[in-house]
Amino acid sequence: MNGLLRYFAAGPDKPALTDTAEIDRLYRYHRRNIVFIITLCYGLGYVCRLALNVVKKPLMDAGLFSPEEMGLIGSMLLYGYALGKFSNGFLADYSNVARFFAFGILMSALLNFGMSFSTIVALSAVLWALNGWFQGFGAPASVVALTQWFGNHERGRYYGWWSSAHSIGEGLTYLGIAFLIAMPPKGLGLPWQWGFWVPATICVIAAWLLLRYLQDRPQTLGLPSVAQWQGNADTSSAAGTTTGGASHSAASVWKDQLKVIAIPSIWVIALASSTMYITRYALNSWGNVYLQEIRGFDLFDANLFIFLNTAAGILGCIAYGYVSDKWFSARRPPANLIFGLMEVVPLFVIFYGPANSYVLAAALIVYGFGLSGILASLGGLFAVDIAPRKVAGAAMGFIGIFSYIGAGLQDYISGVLISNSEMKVVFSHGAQSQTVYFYDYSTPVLFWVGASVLSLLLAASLWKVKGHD
Amino acid sequence: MTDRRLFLAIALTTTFALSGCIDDEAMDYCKNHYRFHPQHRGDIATLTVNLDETGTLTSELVLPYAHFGATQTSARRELSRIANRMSNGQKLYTLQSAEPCSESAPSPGFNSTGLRVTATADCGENNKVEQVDVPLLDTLPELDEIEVEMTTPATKKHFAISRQCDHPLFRLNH
Repeated sequence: MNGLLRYFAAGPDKPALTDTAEIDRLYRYHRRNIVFIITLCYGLGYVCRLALNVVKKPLMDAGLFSPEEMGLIGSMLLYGYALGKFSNGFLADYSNVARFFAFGILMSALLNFGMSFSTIVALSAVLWALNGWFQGFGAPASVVALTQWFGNHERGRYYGWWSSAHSIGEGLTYLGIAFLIAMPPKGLGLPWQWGFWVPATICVIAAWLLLRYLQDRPQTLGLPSVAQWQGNADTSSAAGTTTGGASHSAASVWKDQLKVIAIPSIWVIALASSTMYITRYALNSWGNVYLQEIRGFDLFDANLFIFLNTAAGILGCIAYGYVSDKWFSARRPPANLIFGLMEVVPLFVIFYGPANSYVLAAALIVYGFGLSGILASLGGLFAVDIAPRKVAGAAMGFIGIFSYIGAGLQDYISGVLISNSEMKVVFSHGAQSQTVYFYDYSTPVLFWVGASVLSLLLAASLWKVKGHD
Repeated sequence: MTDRRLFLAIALTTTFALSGCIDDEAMDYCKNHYRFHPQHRGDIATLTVNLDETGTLTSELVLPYAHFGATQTSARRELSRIANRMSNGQKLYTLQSAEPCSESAPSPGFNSTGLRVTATADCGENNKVEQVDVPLLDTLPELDEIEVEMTTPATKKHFAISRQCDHPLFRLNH
């Protein structure tokens, strides 16, 4: 057991190098590798998180799982991920991030592989919950790697690059995996199991890339900390490892962290974020099924539409920061209202608007843009503004847990609502039968749109709240 | 095994597995059905079902002459036998719902394309239809395939049911 823990623990410091030119060369080389490899591998790993969304419809059509069962399985990933976000952040601080990240992604690959053989609800739910937990290894490991190799003044830029990894993963999934499963001529028409096998293979390759190219702390290579290398006196922010030296202040930090839950605005943001996550994950996990079931698109086109919304999200995230900082002098509520409306209005067009593909595509793009903006605010910026600076992390964690509980509940509730509307048409011939399922999404759609409207109202109720400077 | 060789091995295995699977599937009738469905569309039975918001289910089955004989005369003879069976109570479908639906007997009649059978059921506005059982491939052994268009208040689906396939065929055109 100790040997196993040692394997994952951050390595010991090597004797410090003294050749400045060699230190500069090694730093430049590894920094370039690290930002590239965490972005690429986080994106590749994301495919193992989204695989189920693409094969949901084929699994329902084959009668293997009902929408309610699919909702239950999908929600388990989100609960596992919420738990993972909470626990893995602590673990990543003490780990060799390459091994930690690679292990998480490798386990995720194995669980995807396992999912391809499971048609038992309970087993699939357990596998998918574990997948959620192991998916939670990637983000903290990536952030720890960034803090170890990049200084405070440049980290935001590289964090932005790394954030684009979500879109790599979503693109690969909603276009690439959908291509494998969609019927010819748009796709290869492979059985649904391939929707897990290929992501699993991609994740195995990503794990290998991480082990090969991602480095442990600079000090394990005999390099100085990034702050020392950059000539920054404040070495604490980039020291790279957490030691027990600060334990004397842990109790007071914990007391401060508890104060977060006494701030009413944080509760309102948590509820607003939670309801916004309902819509976000409803579209991501049920959107392509809705587009196939109700709007009659094929699997490839439906996933392409969902990809448009996620791709527009990259711009939305960047634009929100710019708009709130430059136009409203870092006041978030006006920007929240603008981006919130950009999220809610297109939802009415998507679900109640004209049956035109171009209108649908445009609405999904605007929705994705608005959603990502409000996500950046409610899930982070606004909370950090309101919470005292030293407990900003706790505020983020509190809101994160609420958000993923909302997302998880949504998946199950949506599944139940869809299942309740089921009508089967059964064509029997001899001992065989073929079943076509019909669903009515009007109640789930009301739930999804209503959640976004509530989120907008909750966010707007904080109009007069000012952040700490 | 070096890292590079391991990487190559994974990539090649994946490629071979994918290409092998694609070759096998290319021979599959059900997978490629969409390629020739437009050509045989005129020869196969069609079933159109509409369930509206008031709970009224109307259906129309068309059995084309082309499928039932070399000439229209021989086909009409065969179709007349089917029409008789329909008139004597052979159902197009059976419904499962919370409350029983009031159903009319199938009404057969000939037109220029073949035998046309219509039927109506009134289930009521708040009576959810949970299942529609369509036994046509059992009661009409002459049929190999039925093209179905079904509309509900929420959606419309267009597909084919073939004896040779174990799943409905949703893609019917290039």
